[in-house]
Amino acid sequence: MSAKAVVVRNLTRRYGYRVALKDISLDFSENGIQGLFGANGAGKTTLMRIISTLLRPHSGTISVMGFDPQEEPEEVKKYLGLVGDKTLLYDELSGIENLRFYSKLYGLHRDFFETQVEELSQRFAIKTWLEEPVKNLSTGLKKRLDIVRSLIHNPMLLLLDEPFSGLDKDTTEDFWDYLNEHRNTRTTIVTTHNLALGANLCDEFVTLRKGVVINQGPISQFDQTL
Amino acid sequence: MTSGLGAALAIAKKDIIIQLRKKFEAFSMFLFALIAVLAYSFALVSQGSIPADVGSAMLWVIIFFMGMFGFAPIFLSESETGTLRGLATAPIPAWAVYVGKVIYGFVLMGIVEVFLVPIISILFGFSFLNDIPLTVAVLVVGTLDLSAVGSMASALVMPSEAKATVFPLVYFPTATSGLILLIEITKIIVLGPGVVPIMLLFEILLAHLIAMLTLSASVFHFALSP
Amino acid sequence: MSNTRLIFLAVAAVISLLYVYMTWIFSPPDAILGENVRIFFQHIAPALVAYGLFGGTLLCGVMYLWKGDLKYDIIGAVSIKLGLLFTTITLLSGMLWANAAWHSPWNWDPRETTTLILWIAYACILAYRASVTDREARAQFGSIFGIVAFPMVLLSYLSIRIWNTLHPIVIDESGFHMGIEHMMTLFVAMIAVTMIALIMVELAYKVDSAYEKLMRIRMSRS
Repeated sequence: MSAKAVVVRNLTRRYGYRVALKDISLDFSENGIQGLFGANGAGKTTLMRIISTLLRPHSGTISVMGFDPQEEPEEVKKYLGLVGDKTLLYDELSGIENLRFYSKLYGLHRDFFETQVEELSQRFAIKTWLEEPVKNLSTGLKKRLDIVRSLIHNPMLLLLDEPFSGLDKDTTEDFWDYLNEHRNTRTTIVTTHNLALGANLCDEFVTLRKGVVINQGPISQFDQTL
Repeated sequence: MTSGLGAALAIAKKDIIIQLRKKFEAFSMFLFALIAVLAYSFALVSQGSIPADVGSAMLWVIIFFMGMFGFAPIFLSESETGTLRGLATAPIPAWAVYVGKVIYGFVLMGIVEVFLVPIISILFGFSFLNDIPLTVAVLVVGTLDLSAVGSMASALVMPSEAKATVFPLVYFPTATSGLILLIEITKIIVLGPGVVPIMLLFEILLAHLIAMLTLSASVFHFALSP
Repeated sequence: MSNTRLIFLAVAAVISLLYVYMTWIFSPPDAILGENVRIFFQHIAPALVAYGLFGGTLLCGVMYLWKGDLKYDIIGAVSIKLGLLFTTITLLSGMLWANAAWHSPWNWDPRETTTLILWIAYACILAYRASVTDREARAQFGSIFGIVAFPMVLLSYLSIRIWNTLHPIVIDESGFHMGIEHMMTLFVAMIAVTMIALIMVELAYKVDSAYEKLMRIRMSRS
């Protein structure tokens, strides 16, 4: 595991006059599950947004899968899959329509799309619910559908921003198993303030406090202080 | 990899399907237009009729105000539900999102106008029969122009604190320049040639549309990072 | 105060005095309009400077989006405020002129109308900016707004060429349509008003950036 999925060097990001990330440098290795830990306001979400091309850093460099998210955002976006606290689904559309819409944005081939839907919907037990408009689904089913959406293009880099908050027990277990299975073929970056959970799941970790990296390394060195 | 235009069409199609399922938005726009017709008639009718030049100008004034209901939710609804992040992190150029929304706004207004224009022309007693091809061309270009401005306005309102109050502040001033031209052209169609050649006005309208589209599309990726 | 600034201020003061002298004493009364021709210099110079300032807003918007430096946003906002001031002067002097020439202060002439729209549009940008509390978002989206509002300035500028209007066309393809004394006066007026505008932009920029610095200190203390 020598290749790096994300390389950050001396990166600073301000919000107006508040400094959210202060001259941070860190690496996330390719493949495996990487934890990004920190209390609320530590700068986790800011870093995730910069990785996902949504925010511009004020200084410093960042490379995601070998590309600069500001210079070549479309290259970076091709590799990204996102799960956040809000689902990215349209309430009026059915599950399969939502997935089809995103597959068009990602330019997926029809056959690839069909097999992905088949496999993932089976895996996350939403196959029978795909024709139902999303607004009729329960929160748990919505969350499952959103996970399927984030995986539909088989992303190389999965960004999970507090993915387990508000997730029921079954979905958490299914998702956990899935992430474990793909540990060696996909890079997953998880932010969480739930350290016990993070320590069990992750291979490596980075801890942020008030916009500064206070600790990073393999999970064996993790000491559970924020 | 989807082309930008393919992605734009996918976004427009998705929004049109959602709109057709919700129904009430287009219908309430239509009702608003009828109420406006009544309100103007109280002010303008003298001895049972309205002068043709005033009536035809009112058509665009009504469409202009109707745009407030049609265009405001274009981006606001997506930013409220959070789905805008899905569009912002998909591997498509930012202008495709904007163009998709302009197409959607155009179709939405077009659906209402198909019913509205004949009704207003009968009630206000003026006729477009002098030059039907030009009338259609002006309706298409004019509605596209308003949609180009309205979509941008909706995007600009996203970070504002008082969205409902501020949308007209953003939409009206930028749309007014198109409105002046539209009213002038429509008057000429209804009343016959005036002092200014109609084709000159139409060309300026086209230039305005192209300027708005290119300007907005080229800065749009800045509007997608919240 | 640095030497260059002192020299600039001195030159501006001299030219401004010259401007006053040329407007009110040097330039002869017009054949048709008589003494009212003097209003004209207070009208056209601020109008062109206002267009320039709105162009500055566009430029600052582009620069901010490109560089991400709040400095450009502050200058852009200052140009809007001063552009509004000069547009107001243009409208008022235009109304005085219209009253003298056409015996009615407001005639819904396309040039008048488009200038009024311009005033409202840029006032709307200011109101919009005030409604965005997040500093970064205000700069970013305010810059975009400043860019997409610019076609209005062009339409206002071109309006007298598009519509046959009451408004006199002073400058067209065949050159300046006025006497040599009036032309010289207009030239001096242009330089004077531009210099005054530049001094105001600089002062307002200093005040605004000092205010922003104050806000930054307050925020870092909380």
